[in-house]
Amino acid sequence: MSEHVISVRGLKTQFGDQVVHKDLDLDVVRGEILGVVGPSGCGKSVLMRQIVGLDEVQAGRIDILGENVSALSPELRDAFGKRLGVMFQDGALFSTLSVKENVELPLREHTALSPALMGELADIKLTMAGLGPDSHAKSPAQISGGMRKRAALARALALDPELLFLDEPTAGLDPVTAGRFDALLKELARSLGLTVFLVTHDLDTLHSVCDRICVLYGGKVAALGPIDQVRAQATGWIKDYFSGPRGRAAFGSS
Amino acid sequence: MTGVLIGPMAAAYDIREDGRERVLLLKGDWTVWTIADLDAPLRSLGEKMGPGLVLDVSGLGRLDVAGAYLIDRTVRGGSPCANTDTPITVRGAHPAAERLLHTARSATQPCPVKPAPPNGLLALMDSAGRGLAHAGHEAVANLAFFGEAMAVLWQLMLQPSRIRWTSVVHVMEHAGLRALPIICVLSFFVGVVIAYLGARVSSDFGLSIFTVELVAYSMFREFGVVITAVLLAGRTDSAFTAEIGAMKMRQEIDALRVMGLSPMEVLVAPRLMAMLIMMPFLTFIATLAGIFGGMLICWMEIGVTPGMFFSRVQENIPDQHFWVGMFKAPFFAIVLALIGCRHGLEVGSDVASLGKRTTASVVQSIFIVIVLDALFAIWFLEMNW
Repeated sequence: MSEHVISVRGLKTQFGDQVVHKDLDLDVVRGEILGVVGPSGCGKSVLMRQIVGLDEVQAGRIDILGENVSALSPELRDAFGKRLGVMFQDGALFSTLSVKENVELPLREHTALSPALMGELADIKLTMAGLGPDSHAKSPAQISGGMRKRAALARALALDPELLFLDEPTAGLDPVTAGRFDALLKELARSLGLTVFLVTHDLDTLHSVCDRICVLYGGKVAALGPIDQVRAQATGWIKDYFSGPRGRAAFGSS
Repeated sequence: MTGVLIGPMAAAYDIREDGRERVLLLKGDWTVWTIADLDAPLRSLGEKMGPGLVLDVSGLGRLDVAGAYLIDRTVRGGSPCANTDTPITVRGAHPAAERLLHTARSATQPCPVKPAPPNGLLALMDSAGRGLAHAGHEAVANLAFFGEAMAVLWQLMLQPSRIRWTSVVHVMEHAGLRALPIICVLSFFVGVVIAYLGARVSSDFGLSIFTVELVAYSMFREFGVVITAVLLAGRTDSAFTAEIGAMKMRQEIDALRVMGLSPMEVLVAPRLMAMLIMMPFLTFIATLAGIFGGMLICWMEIGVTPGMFFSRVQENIPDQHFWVGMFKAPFFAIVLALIGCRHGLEVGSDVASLGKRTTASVVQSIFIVIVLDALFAIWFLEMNW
C-alpha cells in the first residue's frame, strides 16, 4: 500500500520578484526516507518550512496525513504540529536548558505525564539518539556539534511523531560522525516506522539513507525516484551534481 | 474529519493467570498521549508482580516508543533501570509491538550509581569561597583590561593616524548624542525633586532661599555626572557588551585577530575615545537640565525668579563645584567603556553567556561608578574643594 503522507499540489511561492516554486507537485509515501536536494536558493528549506507550517502557503495546497494544512483552524493546526518532529540545521536547542530538559520540554508542555516518567522517556530518547547518560545533564554549549545534532534528533522524537523533518542533519560534521549519524537515522526510521523528509546537500547521506530522492530545480521537481534511477537519467544540473568530484567519491565510480 | 485527528482509544490492561504464566493483556492505543494515567498503577503492578510478565498484544492498537517503554518497564518489574535482561515474550500478532519493545529495551541504561549528596554546610562554604575567588578574578581582569586599554590609547596618541575617526564619530553619535534627550529629561526631574525636598525642609526654619544653593551644589558636584553615568551604564555600556558579544559569538573577533587587527585598537579604543569626548558634554547638559528643573520649582514654590536664582548662584557658588563634577566625567567614561567592552569580549559561544555578560556589565559599571563617586566625594571634601 503506498499511502501518501505528504502531498503537495501546484505550490507557488514568490518573494518579491524572486520565484521560488512554480507549480510544484510532490508526494511522500508512508514509511519512506525522502531526500530533497537542489542548488542553494532553490527553495528546499522554504518547502520544508511551508510543510511544517512555519511559512504561509501562498498558492497551491499541501496535504499532510490527508488534511489540507493551510485550511486547518489554528487550534487544529497546533494539534497537528505535535505529530510532526522537526530538527533544525544547528539543532536549535534551547541554550538555557540542559540537554535532557530540552527533550522533556515538549513532553512537559503537551502531555499529562508524571515528571518521573517524563525524565525516563527523555533518557530513553537520548540513549536512542546515541547520547550516553553523562551528557544528559550538560548544557548544549558544553557538548560537541555532533552531540548537539543527536540531542536535537532526540527532541524531535520526543512526542513520537509519525513524520520527521530534518534540515541538513549532517552539515558541519566530520565524515565519520556524519556517517554514524546517517546509520542512526536509518536505524531509527526503520525501528520506529517513521516517514522522513530530509533536506540535505550531503551525497553520502543521500546514498546511504534515502529510499527516494527528489531534486528541486527551477522551482519544480526536476527528478524523483530511487537514487540510482535519478543518476542514470540525469541531465543538466543533476548530472553536474552527481558527476562532480564529490558525487563520484560518494558513489565510488569514475 | 478524517482519520488523523480522531481521538485515540484509551489505553487499558488486564492480568490473566494462564497456567504458570502471568499474562499482561494490552488493549487500546498505548502512545505518549494515552499513557499518562497508567504510569503509577503500572509501576506498582510491576513491583508487585516482579519481572517476567508475558505480553498479549492481540488487542493492542497504536503503539509508540513511550508506550513500549512503559510496557517494557512493567515487564522488567516496574523500575526505570533494573532487570534489563528480562526476556520479552509476546503473544498475539501486532505489526510493530515486538520491534518497538526491543527498541525501548535497548535504549534502557543500567541503573547509574548516585553520587553522595553534598554536605549542606560544606556546599555553602564551597559556593561562598568560589564567589569570593570569582570576585577577585573579576577585579584583576578589570584592572588588566584597564592597563591594556591605556597602553593602546597611549600608542594611538603617539601615532594619531591610526585612530579610527569614523568609528569614533559613529559611537559618539549612537552612544552619546542619541542619549541626550533621555538624560536631559531625567536630570530635569531629579532637579525638580531636589528643589521640592529642599524647599519643604528649609521652609520649616525659614531658610527656603537656600534651596537655590542646594540645587546648584548637588547638581554641579554630584547629580549631573552620576545621573549621566548611571543612564549611560544602562543604555550605552549594555549596548557595547551586546554588540561586541554578538561579534564574538559569530567569530568576528577571531576573524579580526587572524587578519592581524587588534580588537583593542579596532573596537575598544574608538568606544573609549568616544565616551571620553561625549561624557563631559553630556554631563554639562545634564547639569544644566537639572538646574533648570530646580529653578522652575524655586520660582513656583518659593517665588525666586530666574533672575534672582542665577544671580544668587553666581554670587554664592564658587566655580570649583562645577569643576568637581566635570572632573569626574572622564573617569566614569573610562569605567563605562572598558567594563562594557571587556564583558563583550568575554562572551562565549552560547546565547546564555551573552545575557549573563550583559547583566554583569551593567551591574558592575553602576557599582563601580557609585563607589568611585563616594571615594571622590570624600577626597574632595577632605581637600576642601
